[in-house]
Parts: sequence; structure tokens; C-alpha cells
Amino acid sequence: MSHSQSAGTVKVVYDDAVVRAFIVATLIWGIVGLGLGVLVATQLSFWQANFGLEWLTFGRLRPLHTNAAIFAFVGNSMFAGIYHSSQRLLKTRLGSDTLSWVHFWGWQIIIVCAALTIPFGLTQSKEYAELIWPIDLLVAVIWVVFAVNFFLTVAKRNEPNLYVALWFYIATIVTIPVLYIVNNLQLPTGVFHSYSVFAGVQDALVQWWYGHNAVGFFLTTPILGLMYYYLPKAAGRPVYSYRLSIVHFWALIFVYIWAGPHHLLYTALPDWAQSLGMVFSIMLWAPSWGGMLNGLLTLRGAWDKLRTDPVIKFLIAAVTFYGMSTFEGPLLSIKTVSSLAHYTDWIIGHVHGGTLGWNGFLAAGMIYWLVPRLWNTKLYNEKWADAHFWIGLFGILLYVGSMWISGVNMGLYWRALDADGFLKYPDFIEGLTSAKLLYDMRLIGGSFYFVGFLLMTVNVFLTIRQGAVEKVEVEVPRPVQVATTSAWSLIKGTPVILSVAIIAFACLFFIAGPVTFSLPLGVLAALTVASILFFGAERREKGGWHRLLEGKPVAFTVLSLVAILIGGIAELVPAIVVPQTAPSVAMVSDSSSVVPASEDVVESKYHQQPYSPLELEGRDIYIAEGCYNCHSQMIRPFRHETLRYGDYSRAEEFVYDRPFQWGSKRTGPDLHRVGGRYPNLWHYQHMMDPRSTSPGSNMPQYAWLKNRQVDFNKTRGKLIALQKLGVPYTDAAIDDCMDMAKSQGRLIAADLAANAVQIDPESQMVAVIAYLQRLGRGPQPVAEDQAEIDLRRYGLETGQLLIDEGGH
Amino acid sequence: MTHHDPSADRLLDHEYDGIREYDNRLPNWWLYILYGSIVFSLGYWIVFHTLGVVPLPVGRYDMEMVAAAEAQLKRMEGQEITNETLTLMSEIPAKVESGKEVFAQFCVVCHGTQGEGSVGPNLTDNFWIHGAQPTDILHTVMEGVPDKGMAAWGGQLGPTRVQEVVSYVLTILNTNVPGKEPEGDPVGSGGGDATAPASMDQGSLAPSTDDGGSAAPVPAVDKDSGDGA
Repeated sequence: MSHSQSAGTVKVVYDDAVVRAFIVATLIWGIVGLGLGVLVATQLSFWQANFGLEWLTFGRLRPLHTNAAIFAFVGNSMFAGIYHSSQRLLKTRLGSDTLSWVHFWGWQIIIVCAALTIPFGLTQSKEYAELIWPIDLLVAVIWVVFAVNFFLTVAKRNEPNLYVALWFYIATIVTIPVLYIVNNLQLPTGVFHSYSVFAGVQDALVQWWYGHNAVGFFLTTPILGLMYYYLPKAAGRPVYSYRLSIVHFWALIFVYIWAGPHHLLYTALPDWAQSLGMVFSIMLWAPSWGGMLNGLLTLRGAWDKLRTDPVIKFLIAAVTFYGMSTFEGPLLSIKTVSSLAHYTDWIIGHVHGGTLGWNGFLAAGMIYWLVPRLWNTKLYNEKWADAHFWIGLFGILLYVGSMWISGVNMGLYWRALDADGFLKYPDFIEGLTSAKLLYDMRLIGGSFYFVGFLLMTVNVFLTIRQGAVEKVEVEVPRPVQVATTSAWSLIKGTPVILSVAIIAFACLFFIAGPVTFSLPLGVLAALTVASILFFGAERREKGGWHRLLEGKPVAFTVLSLVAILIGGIAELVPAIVVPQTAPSVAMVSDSSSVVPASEDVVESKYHQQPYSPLELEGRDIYIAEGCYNCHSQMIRPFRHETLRYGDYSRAEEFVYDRPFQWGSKRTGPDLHRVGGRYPNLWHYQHMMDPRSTSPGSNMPQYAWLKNRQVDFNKTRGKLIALQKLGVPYTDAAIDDCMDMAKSQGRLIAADLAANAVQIDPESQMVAVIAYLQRLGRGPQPVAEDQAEIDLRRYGLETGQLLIDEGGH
Repeated sequence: MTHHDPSADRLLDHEYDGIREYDNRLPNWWLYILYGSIVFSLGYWIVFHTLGVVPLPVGRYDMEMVAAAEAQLKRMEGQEITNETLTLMSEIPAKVESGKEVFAQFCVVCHGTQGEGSVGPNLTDNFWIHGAQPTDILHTVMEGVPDKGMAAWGGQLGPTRVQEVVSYVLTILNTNVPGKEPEGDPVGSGGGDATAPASMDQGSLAPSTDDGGSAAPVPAVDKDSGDGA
């Protein structure tokens, strides 16, 4: 759209139409995402709040809430801000109008698809990656459209150097596809269903590498970029420190990617990965606070605006919440703290401080600043914006405060021992019911925040109505062509060489032995001193290395990509290729029913056999209902956990779990060793009415499982897919799977019938019971026909028919 | 309003859409956090992984279980010796180690260096002549079986050493060291019942507890046969 005006300047017409569209979408999806949050919070306080409807249960709606909040609300706000600020910072119109609109509508279609699948139980069950594979593909395509559009804009820029906000946008754009694609590698069994190519421990590691960095590169880096544009614009003050920008940007993106395993402390994840996750989380503290500092200190000289300007209030509160969350994150990553806080509401409080405070308030500040400018008018009502701030702030504090207390309270309930050294609160429900008031306060806090958001929406709507859209045309100086060094000479510049050397010796240090470690450690110290001296001497204005790099977007992008790949490769590759970190399928089949001649094979009583066809179907229902949202399947090595749940979970117990179901929150008890613990009748009654077996429970009723049949026509295809992924199902077992599943179902139905419960042996209820009864044990008996049903055998035999006895 | 005079800061000459940048140096306290966290991380790695001088989670769990067994044993002091007492002792490495020393000194002559049996029966299989319960074994060692050549060790060793040697024997059960052929009755076939020592490894301090609903009965399930499947 730019055309030459004179030798010295270029006329540029900014594309603000797509920015306006993203702003409106932000508001609409914000209401949906926050509204869903209020609904699921209501369900945790009052279990009846799904109104008996299966698609409104907590297990199905909580993933929709998180996806809507992250990808719909924050996503749209991020795209609005990136498209608006990038044009101004690069002094050019967006790369392609077509791509901008494909991006906009494609993203909205993705969100609608999510809303049309997740409530109906179509899910991958990996947190924040629940979308089924066809939607995953669409996300990847639309992200590429976004990336191409962004880099086209960069390519035709009229500003030679990239401002810090754009660095963060670049890091976001290159990292998200890496995370998304690897975590969604899967083998489809149909249009709506697939199995993860990773299993058990590996799947958990990949998922939390993704999950943590979705926070890092979707909720943090792009939003820091927005902060670097909108905060100095709104405050009218220079950014505090350019060199802090450089240091904290590179440190943040390099360190962030390593920290994922802090979600898996005390699990069956190998210790080296757990410790890496912990120490990198601690090292993430300073880089994160660098962003907070540059935000807060930019306001120096303009603190008075904090009293009068709602935009500044929102932005500064957002940065403050960012600082709080990024202190709390490293704190929670310390193993000892995690032992108390993991699985509890503390984590819920932590993430809501980040999303409501940092993401939500920054979006609000940006919207209040942008909307009057995009529609050429004044904000309809400044007082309402102020009211929104205080209502929202009160809501966040009430929400986060109640969750902190509830989390610590529940963690203490779980671990409390009596004078005899045994559990003081043996019934899990005691901890939950003690938190009822706090759950109600959370609901009130969340509702306040929601009301504040509605007030903003009305305010923005009335502002838009009184405003008018105008073409924004600016005249910018034509960029002066300066002879610069080549991109390649920058990539092999001193800072890169120093960084590579430090990383190489750090890797040597991590794998070195008790004596040899001192050598790489000494070299590391020397290199660090050299780096500090070099950085201190670096010319930062013209001609310095980083200044030059800012004029070379390709080199900048490549270095960013390398920075984020190192941590991922260092953690994921060893865990996936080294067999002892997670026993391979071959090792497991070796130790199955036929013990091989070799005596070297390490026997473990925890080695597993694959799920029977009915158990597999039950597991898929467990996944579809989102049981993992409230129940973990990972008993940590603490005596208070093994007293309550049984022996702690071992890595080799999950080799057939695709995807893994460790969970991240215990609103209900752990289920890893629930198999055989209760009779079938208990499970039936529990799912029909949880309060009949567990008074005080807030679990919804799952009565529809009784009336819905399993589609056994799909079982064969599922087994074939798993066989392709390496699960040692025999061809005979696959051919026979339907009969096998039905006979196992008859056995459970007969047991229930003996207890005066008539149930269809092919119902989903029976399949789920079969799965639950197998957890922590091997496959359960299969009856050839009614006559063979012998309940005395129950629980004492394993279904060895399933295993390929020849081994693999 | 300003406590600090920003005009003293050095402004960089560049501007982006009206945004200027200072080039302030990194605050010292921020640098201390940065370097401190790196030093802590390196130190953590050296202590926990490179040198391995502090136990990691599972090692810590094992210590926690031993401490719990010791505390439980202390609570049971002065009471009659039961299966539970002896099983608890077999979970405490110090007791097992003392028992192993006694075994090496007095028992290996007849039962072999690893308990595989020579004159006396194999102690590492799943068969017992005089009862498989820990208290049965204790009784056998204390009183002996004169008819079969097993001496009564109670007087010579005293009750503490006998208890320790029994706690050691409980740890070598089912290790199935090749040696003397099985003699006596297999565990679970009348010689002992389902609560034979072999199934009491984790069980004694980690009993099945009722977490979900207190109303429902817990079915009797042999945890070990289930876990092993």
C-alpha cells in the first residue's frame, strides 16, 4: 500500500481493520472464557451446576475454559496488539491483507471447532493441547499464515532496526510451532480420535515441556512485547534500560524452555530431568524480573499517572502481577515446596494470578488505550474503566488468596500424621470439605473479575458506537541504506561463540563425574568473566553486535530458534532415545508371561501388560470425560501418599499409557492403584451418585454411562493403531478383540447382577469399571462364556491371552 | 513526584514510533539474583547429582520408611514379639546388617553363605518345614529342632541377636539362590497363610486405607499378586 512520495519519505496506510476485528474477538471470547471459568468454579462449589447434562460436566468444561482463556482470549488480544504495534514499529502496512484476514477468520474457526468438540468428549486429554488432531492441523496452518504475514511485514519495513517488542514477537512465532507440533505427534484412529506417539513418562515429559512453554511463549513473551510497546506509549516515558532488555530477552527465552519438568517433581520422571527442571526454574527468576523492572521503572517520572490514568493502572498492575507470578513460579519449583503444593489449589491460584492479573489486566490496559485511537474518539466512560480496575483487582486478590489458603490447607491435610505415625485424615474427602468456604470465595472473586470484564465490554461497545473509523496514513522517512556486516558474520560473532562455549561446558559439567566436574566448572567461571567483560565493553549504540543483529531479522530469528531448541533437545532427546529412562516395549514384553532364557533381564513386579480391549475402551471414556482434571494417577514417594494410595508409581508402569494420565490436580484422590481396592458395586454406586459412597464429594453424577453403549466396532482399529506404535498385541488378540471385550464385560455385569444391579455388559459404565479395576494391576480376567464366570478367581488371574508370547 | 532524576540517565539516540530508551546499567540486586540463582543451581547439581551426597526423592522416601519403622518399633517396645515386630525390623537396615553378621558367624555352616542351604535347608526358597510366619522362624531359632540337628540358639545369642538374625532371614526370602532342593511346605499351601512374610514387604506400614468413602467395605485383595501381574 506504500508508494513513493518523494525521495526522502514514503506514505504508509496502516491496516487497522484487522486490529479492530481482533479487539472485538478478544472481548467476545473473553466473556466466553471467563464465563466458563465462573461456571466451572460454581460446579466445584455446587456439584449440581452441570444440571445433569454430560456436556456441562467439570471434566469436559474445564479444558474448554483453559483453551478459551489462553488461545481465544489472550490469543486474540495478542494478535491485535502484535498487528497494531508491529506496523508502527516497522513503519509499514501488514505484509498481506489477505493473510491478515485468513489469520483472523482461521483463528476464530479454530475456537468454534474447539467449542464444538471438547464439550462432547472429543479430546486428547493433554492439558492446553486437548484439541483433536484435525484442529491441531488447522492451528499449525493458521500459525504459519500468521508467521508468513509477520515476516512479510518485517521484510518490507521502513525502520531498519527491530525494537525489543519485535524480538519477543519473533521468539513467540518461532517457538510455538516447535512446541505444538512435537506435543501433538499422534497416530489417528479416526477423524475424531488418535493415540499419542509418546507413552507414559516420555509423553509426560513432552507434554509438560509443551505445557510450561505454552505459558512461556504464548502467555509471557508476546505479552512482554506488548508491554514494551504500550507501556512507554501510554506513560510517555522512555524505556528504563536497553541493555536490560537485551540481557533479559536472551536469558528468558533460553532458560524458559528447560523448566518444564518442574510440573513433574517427585513423579516417575528420571531424577536428572526433575533436577534440571527445578534449577532452570530458579534461574528463570532474574530473567523474568528483568521484564518487570523494565516495565515498572519505565514509569519513573510519571508515577502520578498511576492515580489518574486507568490505562497506566491496568498496565502497572499487570506488570506487578507478572513479577509476583514469576517469583512464585521458581518458589513452587523447589522440590520441597512442590511436595506440598503440587496437586493442590495453590497451583490454581498461581496460574490465575498470572492469567487474570498479568494477561487479563495487560489486555485491558491495551484495549482502553487502543479503542479510542482505533475508533477516533474518547473512551465512553473513564470512571467505568476505573471501576473495572478496582472490581477486577478485588476479584483477583480474593480468587488468588482463597486458592493459596486452600492449597496449603489441602497439602497439610494430605500429609498430616497422627501420634501413631499414621494418616490423621485417612479419608481424602476431609481435606476437600474443609475447603468449601474457600471454594465459595474463589467463585465470588472470579465473578467479580467477570463483572469487571463485562463493564469493559459495555464501555468499549459504547465507545465504538460514538466513534468513527478513519484511514490512518502516515509519512515515514525512507530507510537509509547503510552498509552493514553480513548476517553470517553476526552469527559467528563473539557473543555467539561465547554463548556456545558456555553452553557446551555447562553440558559437560552436567554429565561430568565426581572428580572431572571441576574442569568444566573452572572453564565456565572463566568464560563467564570473559562474557561480563565483553558485554561491559560492547558498544551499544551504533555498530555494536546486538545493534547490528537488530537490523538482521533472519539472523535474529535463527539465533532465537537455536536458543529455544537447545533446552528442548537436551531434555527430550535423552529421555526418548535412552532406554533405561523409560523401559522400552521390548524390555516389557521380555518380562511378561514367558521369561526369556537370559538371566540379565531385570525383573520388576511393576512391568505391565497391555490393556485388554474393554479396559482400553474404558480408558478412552475416562479420557473423554476428562477424569484427569480432578484425579491424578501418579503416587509420589512420600510415606503419607503410599499409606493412602499404595506403593509409589514407577516409570515402567506407564509404558502403555497413550496419552499418559498422571493429571496435575487432585480435587479427588489419586487413582493409580485403585484397581481391586473396591468391589465393582462400589464403582457403580460411586459413578451413579458419588455422594452415596463418598459423602461430601463434589464429583458430578455419571449416570449416563449406564445407558450408553461402547462402540466395539472401533476397538479393532484402536488396537491396530497401538500395535503400530509398538504395543505387543498379537494379531490373534486383535482379531478376537470384540469377543474378548464383551466377555470381560459380561463378567463385570454378572458380578453386579449378583448384587442386584442389572446393567448392559456393553455399557460405558462397565468399560470404565473394567479400566478402573485394572489400574495398578495387570489385565483382569476375561470369561469365555457365562458358565466360565467364576468370581472366586476374580483378581487372582491375569489375561495372558493378550501377550505375544514370542516377544518382540 | 520523582525520587530519582531521570534526566541524569543517558538516552539512546534511537527512537521507535516515539519510544525512546535509556541505557541504564543493570541494578546490582538484580544481578545478585541472576548470579546467585546460577551459583545455587550449580551447587545443587554438584551436591545432588555429581557427588550424590544427598539422597534424591526415592532415597529420601526409603529413609522416611526406615524412620517410620523405627518409630513404630519404639512404640511397640515392651510388648510381645509379633510378626509385625519382626517385619518392621527387617525394614531397618541397621538391624538387618547386625543380623547378617550373626548369620555369617553362626548360621552359614549349615545354611550356606547366602542361605542356600547345605546341612540345613535352603532359606531362600518359598518352602518351610517349621512354619513360615516370622514368629515361627523366631521360635525355630530360639528353641531349635533337636530331632533335625537345628540347635537352640536362644541362650547363646540372646533374644536381641536372634530377632536380628530373623529380620535378616526375612530379607533373603524368595531370592531363590540355587542350592538345596526345597523341603517342607510351600507358603500358602497350609504351611502358612496368605499373610506369609513374602507379602509383607511394603505392606506393614502401608496398609490399605479407605480414602474415597468410609462406608464401603474394602475387599480382601492380595496386593502382591495384583502388582506383579
